[in-house]
Amino acid sequence: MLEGAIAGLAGGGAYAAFGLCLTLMFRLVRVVNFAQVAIGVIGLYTMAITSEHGWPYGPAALAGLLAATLVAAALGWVMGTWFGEAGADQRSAISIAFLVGLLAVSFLAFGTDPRRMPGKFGGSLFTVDGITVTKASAVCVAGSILVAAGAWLVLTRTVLGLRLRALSERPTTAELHAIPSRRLGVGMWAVTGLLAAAVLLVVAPQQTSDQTSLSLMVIPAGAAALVGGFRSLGRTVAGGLGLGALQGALAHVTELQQYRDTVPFVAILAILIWSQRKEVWDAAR
Amino acid sequence: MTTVTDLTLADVAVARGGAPIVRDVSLTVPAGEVTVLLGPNGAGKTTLLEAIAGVLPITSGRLTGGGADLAGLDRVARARRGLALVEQGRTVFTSLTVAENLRVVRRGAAAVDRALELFPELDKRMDVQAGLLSGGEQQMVVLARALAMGPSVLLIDEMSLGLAPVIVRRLLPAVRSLADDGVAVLLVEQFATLALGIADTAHVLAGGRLTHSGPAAPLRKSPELLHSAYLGEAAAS
Repeated sequence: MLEGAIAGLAGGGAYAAFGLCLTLMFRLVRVVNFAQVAIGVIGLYTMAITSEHGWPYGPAALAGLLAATLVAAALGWVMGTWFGEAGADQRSAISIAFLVGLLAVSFLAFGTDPRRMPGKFGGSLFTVDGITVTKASAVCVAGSILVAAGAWLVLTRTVLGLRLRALSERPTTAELHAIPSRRLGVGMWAVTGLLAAAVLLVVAPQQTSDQTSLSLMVIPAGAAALVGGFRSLGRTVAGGLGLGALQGALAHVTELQQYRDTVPFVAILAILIWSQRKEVWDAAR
Repeated sequence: MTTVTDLTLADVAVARGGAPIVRDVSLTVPAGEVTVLLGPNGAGKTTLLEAIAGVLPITSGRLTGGGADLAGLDRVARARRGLALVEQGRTVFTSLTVAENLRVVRRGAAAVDRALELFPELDKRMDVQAGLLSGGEQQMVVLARALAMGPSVLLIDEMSLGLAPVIVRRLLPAVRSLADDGVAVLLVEQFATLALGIADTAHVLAGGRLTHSGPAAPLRKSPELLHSAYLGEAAAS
């Protein structure tokens, strides 16, 4: 069971990293970005296609990262230009349209068959007491912690971070103080798009995947972000890793393994019910 | 990039949610002067300031600053040209400290130093989260933050809202001092008498139209004239 939990950390690290993207996007550009992972999928498949055309892995991966960054920046520009004054709920609904659109484009461009992706993080890193830690697990866990620490440093120690926080708190006031909301918003979309693609480049080669199942990793990522209340970066990482470890552990229990994919849904439901425990009847209705 | 040094509005009209709120407003806000805009609640004062700052679009008329057209610029571009709006309601960035509120917009150490010179109380509160300050202190942060931008035109909307008169008496001289430094100030204020005390020129807006324009001194000396302007009885001059 412990080995399963350790194995599950690769997925957990990915949930944590995607959860961080969701948290940062919600905090800083007021959107629960349901298209977050789908943007990364465009990058992943760009890498796969360029690899199939004979590109070495490095340039192919760079092409994938660039594609995801550009797609994310374009979506951020659309959001900032046409829906700049919309509230978080409207912007989040629009991100669902982005998700559907990206899936449609992805099916047209890359086909619908599941495929195995080329990767550089297969195999084990080390084994202790019969428990194997894979390279993908180590990279995902370390990567999500580094991203959280880096984001915290940027938000608290740099003028850019201060401006992003100001913008998230009072967008109009920030703009009245010459803080360029549209440019910063596009930058946030681009950076989180790049991050989503980078995570998928590590995780996706570990299994045969298709665009839909990969894009729906946004659900456990959302559960991780909910653990952090869409605010705390540390708790989001813990939530993502915990969900991944729990899923991995359940996969090693014969009676329960068929239920492991329900873990994110149960987590989301439990957190939402818990978060409403102090609501009065009228407000909770 | 041209810096806005003054403002000129010619026959400006502004709508909010499709409803016309301000009509045919013409006024100037010269550098080095405090221009006060008075009027009853719902007269359109905030709407006019928001239109000048670029929060709302101008539906007709001309808005120029330093001779250049401003109406085609968005609010960020206007702010970069030296136009600062101090909004109603103590709009500090609550999760940021006082120092961070100033750092987030600063154009240079001199501008921040000048702001702290006007509000020395803030010097001891720099590491305090702005959301934890008193109302008066928050208003000082908001003003100091606008000053940290090094503005050449400052629009101030109901600075005294919710504040004790003693705090207002502390803040208004700071506004006068800015104008004396060459900043063009357009002040919307509910404490008419106090505001007129620091103003060079006064305009009264009632029902979306200017009902009085002229030097501040006569209004300061004659409450009857002020009352008739509020009621829209005085002819716009």
